[in-house]
Amino acid sequence: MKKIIYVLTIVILLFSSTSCEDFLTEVSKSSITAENSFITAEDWDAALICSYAMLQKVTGQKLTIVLGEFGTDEVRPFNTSWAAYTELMYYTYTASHSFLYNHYVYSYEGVKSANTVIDMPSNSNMSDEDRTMLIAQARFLRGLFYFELVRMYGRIPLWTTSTVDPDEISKPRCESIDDAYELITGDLEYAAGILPETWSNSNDKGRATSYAAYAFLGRVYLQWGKSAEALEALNNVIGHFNLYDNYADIYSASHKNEEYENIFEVQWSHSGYWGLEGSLQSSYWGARGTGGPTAGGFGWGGFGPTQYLYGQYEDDDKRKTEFFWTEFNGVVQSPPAIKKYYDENYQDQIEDDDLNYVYMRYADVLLMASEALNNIDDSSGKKYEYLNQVRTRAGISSITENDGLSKSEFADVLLKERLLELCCERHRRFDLIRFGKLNEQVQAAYAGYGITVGENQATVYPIPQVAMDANDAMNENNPGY
Amino acid sequence: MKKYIFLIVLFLGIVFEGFAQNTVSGVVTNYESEPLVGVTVVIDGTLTGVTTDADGRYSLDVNQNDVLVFSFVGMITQKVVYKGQKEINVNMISDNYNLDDVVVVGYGTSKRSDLTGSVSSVKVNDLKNTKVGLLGNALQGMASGVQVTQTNLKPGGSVSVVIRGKGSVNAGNGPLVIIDGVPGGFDQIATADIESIEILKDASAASIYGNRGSNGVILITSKKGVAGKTKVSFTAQGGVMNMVNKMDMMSAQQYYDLINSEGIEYTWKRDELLQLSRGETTDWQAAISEQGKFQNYNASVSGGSEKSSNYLGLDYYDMDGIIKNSNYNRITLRFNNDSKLNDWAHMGFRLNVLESKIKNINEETHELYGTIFSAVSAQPTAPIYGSDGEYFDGFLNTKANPVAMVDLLDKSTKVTHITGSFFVEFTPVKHLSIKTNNAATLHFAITDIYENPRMGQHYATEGVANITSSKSRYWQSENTITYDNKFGDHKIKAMVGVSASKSEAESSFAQAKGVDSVTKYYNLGGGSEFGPNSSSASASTLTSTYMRANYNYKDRYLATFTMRADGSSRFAPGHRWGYFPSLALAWRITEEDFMKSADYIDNLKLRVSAGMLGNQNIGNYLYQALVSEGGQHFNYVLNGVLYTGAAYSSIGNTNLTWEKSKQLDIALDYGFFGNRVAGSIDYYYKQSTDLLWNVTLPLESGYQSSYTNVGVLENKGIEFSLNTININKYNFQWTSTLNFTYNRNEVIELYDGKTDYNKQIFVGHSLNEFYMLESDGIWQLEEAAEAAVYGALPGDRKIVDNYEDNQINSDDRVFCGQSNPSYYGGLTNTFKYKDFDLVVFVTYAGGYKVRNSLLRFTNSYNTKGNSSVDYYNNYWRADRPSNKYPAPRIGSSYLNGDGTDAILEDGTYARIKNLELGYTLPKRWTKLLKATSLRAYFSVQNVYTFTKYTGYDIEASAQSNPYPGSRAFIGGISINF
Repeated sequence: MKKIIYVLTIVILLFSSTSCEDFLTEVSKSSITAENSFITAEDWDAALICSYAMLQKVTGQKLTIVLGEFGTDEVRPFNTSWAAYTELMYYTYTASHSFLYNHYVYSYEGVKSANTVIDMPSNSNMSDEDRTMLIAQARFLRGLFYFELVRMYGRIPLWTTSTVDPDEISKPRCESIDDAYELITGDLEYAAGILPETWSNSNDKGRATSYAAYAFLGRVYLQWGKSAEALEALNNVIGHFNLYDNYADIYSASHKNEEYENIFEVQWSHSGYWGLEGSLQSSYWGARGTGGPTAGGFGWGGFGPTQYLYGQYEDDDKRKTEFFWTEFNGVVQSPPAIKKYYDENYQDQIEDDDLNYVYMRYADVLLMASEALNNIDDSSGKKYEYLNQVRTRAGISSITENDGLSKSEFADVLLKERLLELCCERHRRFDLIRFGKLNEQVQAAYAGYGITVGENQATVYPIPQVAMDANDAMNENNPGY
Repeated sequence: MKKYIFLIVLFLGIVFEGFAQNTVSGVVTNYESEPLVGVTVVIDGTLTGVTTDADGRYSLDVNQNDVLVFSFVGMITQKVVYKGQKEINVNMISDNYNLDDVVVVGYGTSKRSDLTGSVSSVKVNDLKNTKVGLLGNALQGMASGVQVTQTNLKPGGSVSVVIRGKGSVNAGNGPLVIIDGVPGGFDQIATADIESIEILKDASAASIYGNRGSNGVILITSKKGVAGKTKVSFTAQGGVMNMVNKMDMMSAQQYYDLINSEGIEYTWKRDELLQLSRGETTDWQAAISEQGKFQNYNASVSGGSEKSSNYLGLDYYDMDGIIKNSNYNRITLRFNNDSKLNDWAHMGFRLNVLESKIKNINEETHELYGTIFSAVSAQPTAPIYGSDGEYFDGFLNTKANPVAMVDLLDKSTKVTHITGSFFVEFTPVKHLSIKTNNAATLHFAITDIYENPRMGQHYATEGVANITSSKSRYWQSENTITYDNKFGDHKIKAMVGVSASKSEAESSFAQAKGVDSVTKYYNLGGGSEFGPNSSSASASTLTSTYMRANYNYKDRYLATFTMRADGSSRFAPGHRWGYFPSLALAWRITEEDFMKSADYIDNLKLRVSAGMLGNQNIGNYLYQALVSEGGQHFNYVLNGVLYTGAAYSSIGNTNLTWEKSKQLDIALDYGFFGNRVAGSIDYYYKQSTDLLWNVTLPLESGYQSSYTNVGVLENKGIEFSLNTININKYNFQWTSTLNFTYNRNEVIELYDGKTDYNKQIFVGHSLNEFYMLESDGIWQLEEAAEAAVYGALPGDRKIVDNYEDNQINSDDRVFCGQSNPSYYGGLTNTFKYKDFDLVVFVTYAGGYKVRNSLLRFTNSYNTKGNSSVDYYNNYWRADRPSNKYPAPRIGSSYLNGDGTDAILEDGTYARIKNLELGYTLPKRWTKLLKATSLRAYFSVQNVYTFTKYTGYDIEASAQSNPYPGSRAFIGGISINF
């Protein structure tokens, strides 16, 4: 009997389980869930910060150098052992190119975070003003990301909300690029109307401003082929910024966020966090063959300016010496290496610099305004004035009405001036596309290389293959791919 | 009564045939040359006989040409003709298909004859065919339906085990490994401590582990002490290994000629020119490799009384790989105890403590970085050391000096793994037993890495050190009640149980830059920059109830019903529970009266089983939409200050639930001619539905992917195993074991009516079938015009324009073969002559293609890196047209064959994995040593592989940075007291 009681007790103990559902409920320990996130103003700002962070991903490192400058007269890969590099230079890339994929993914991640903020509920825990200010910044960023996308890939699917409906997760490409441009310009107009001219709190330096929004609006309209609108936007910026006397100040870490010439900078810092120590620009663009990681002779990034670029400068052009190294630490650089991203505090230390990426600066605004004026046949003479501000700083002769340049001759001068002033700042491909000169300039820089730029390659890249395969609503890639 | 007749016959025999009689005597032993006690020896056709004594000795009076029949439970009967020998010493072979064997099944045991499901038992002795490598590797070729691939050949490298075809896309295809009732891994037990291995392959056998059983279950049982004489065993083995299939790369001069003749821009460095002028070539593969060394020692003591018995095992395994500075060592301690508390309760515990350390080479798979890739690709003109005495740096196609990497990379993982369990079993009344089994596992792992800047370009100029430290904890409680009884011709066995388990894991990572090269990771504080630091933790729980009922009528008709209900924390409320039933029926045809006359048939059993199993082998919390904070991807700097960002990192899916696998098995077990020909043949069909699939989301959503229950995957196949005793003479035996599996894998359905998934998985095709561009040799001079259509020049790789639109793009891709073997298996031949034994063990697989990722570099112009001699001799030149390899033209498309079928090779192979000769010391000598047996052996592992594959090793083919294969020469000795 005693035995039976023993055993019964044991059985009851063993088989009486506690509440199953409680035991089966496990809550994530290392991530927060949707229910307990995005409540306070700080939470929403964190979402915005994440969208800003995607600017680092998209424009930092080398994605936009490789996609925006390889395959132009300005920059070429020296490390030809990497197919991903040579394919871009030789125009033999396909939709499976890994850089396209990364650029596409990061841009849309930026859009996602921006949309999270834009969709913020109106009962959020903060003042209407704070809320509007967050949304204006988010729309500025969304405009930037979509501009990155539309000028690379043409007609792209447009996501304007953050909610994901599993049934509508496959969105088709927009009907025409105009749809994308309307969304972008709408966002930037909205942001320009709300954002401050400058952020008074020093800890907010680096956030989007109304000037930045107007300047980008100008860039976007110009690329869209709407010069009058571009000019209108740029006029809001002209006169509010200046040109540094000293070229190095544009890029220098000690002049970050002065809002003197630079209108919008993607922020980086030598933070002490490995992986975040800087934009890596000084490493990518650094001198080649100087020992250590650059010993292979291609430089750390494996690319650099072309001899063609260096050959475009007149000898008395200050930029010829201000922008280039013909020799670094006794090692001759041929073609010369770019000096713009040299951080004197870290010199040729690899993966170390404290530089921002200057996404928009006044010299660009002046040249864009001049371009817009030329396009709309403006006769006020301002197009000379704006161009000459840039040329004067470089110490080269002004161009005046007396030179008797036709509209297209003036455009040629402008395109060349953009090369001389803005080289290696990730604009060249889009400038050449806008001026319709991509193939012409590639042939000029690489005579005898047998490079063929396909008709469609001269305007857009293919939508990345992975994106095509993952989205059922996208069936046709861009023509020619 | 029988006994009397026997005695009478015996008496009569002596009386009437006494005249011409001689006496024969001898010793009967098993394969291990241990004496067999109680073997019946009779003269064929009579009832005259004796049994062997405690030393296995017998003695019998016989006439010329009498046939002596030796029989013993669990052994194949043997007949010997008496031809006047004085002594007949007999070796007996054990019967692998003995119906009375006890087989371990989930939460219990069963007699083999009572099994209804598909269970393969691996003979522990056969595991010895694999000496270098861990337990998982040793299962290769051992059982039908079990496909083992050694995907990483480094010391301590892991294997992939797939049972009956891949049934999942993202939730894992590895079987559940249960060691003494506790989930574990192949590297967590010393092979010598294993008593038995059972592989549960069909729904009936595995569904008692329903929740994790869809990929099959491997049950490993460790040895326990047996009452009686204390047994002491000692085994020592060791040997050397040499690299096989070293790549034949260009010499310095050939390399120089190739670069120069093709007008490729490159300025030779002074050190390279010096080396060239001396006519020297750096053989980088030789420079990073050495002869490997292997040693393994094992000691065990077992024994005890009826009250309490123990097993103690100690094992040390140490292997230096063929690449310098790669090593794995492990020490394992096992202690098992079984004790009787009183006449209605007994208990026991199992304890296993393991400590291991693996020292790794740079295994980065990214081309340009890994150790092996670097050694293959580094230019042969470069010296190991520059004229300044430092490691040469400035490689063209790799980012670090291969020799510096093997000399200086300091990267090791240390693991401590402790498993303990105890059980108590009560039998309060007859036929009823109650068992509670409780176990816990603790796992600690620390990975230390120090990257010395002297290694080259790839590494930071200041030394970087980091530590990853993790701890995981698991506990389970399993409680069962079993009822076992017999009512006339009806036998019933029923079991019900409940269990609960929880696993928790946490890990942290810390890193510093600029650390001291002496103190390295042992003093991260000495660095100049810190971070990123990170940590994470997660937990999951599982609770289950289950039951199994066996019914047996007259030992002829058998039925098993199993049901399991599982709740998992990995799914959202409302979707947590999965129900997994199975039913199996078996008919033992040989037990029917009409079969009694067919005495050459020993066993015929028809089995049919059907059921459903589940899989939840995905990460934790995946049903929840999560927000991630902080880290490089999220943070931003404003005015020099770092701000933490946050973003939705997953969309979540509250409908997420169990992946299900419906399985059907129809099988026949057979045994003929005294089980000299025995085995089984199975047809199986598995259909996996509601696959836990990490589906790529449209990238525009800003999310990469999300787990969703979609798709249907099917595996069907035939398994065949055959065990034959070809020759069974008293002093010479030859046995063969063959197993063969054919598997057909097919994707039946995707989702939303899709016919393909990212052009990687296609309906109507096998999982991961190759879908690539089709290459067709090289464009020749006379084809220049046609080539120009595609922007190609003569000498470029010709790609077939299958879509016929005058351009080559992704539309031209075609199916180029399946990536998983369609058949595989193993063949063992064992010969024993007197005290010598010889084993030849072969594994094979075929009917598939492998992606030889290294070919992209070796058989193409590996821009400025080294290429193969074959490339050098066969690339296209205007003056030497070739259709094999393209000309070294920078900028030409598909130069390295990436994305085309040019990098595929036929994966069919047969490998002689073990050739082993053993010698067992005769009894009279072992006696002098006071030992019961002593065997010494010599083995060659990985003797030869028949294959068209051209890389290092067919099994580790799909990497561009593979650890090379090796051939091992091993000697060993095992002694029992």
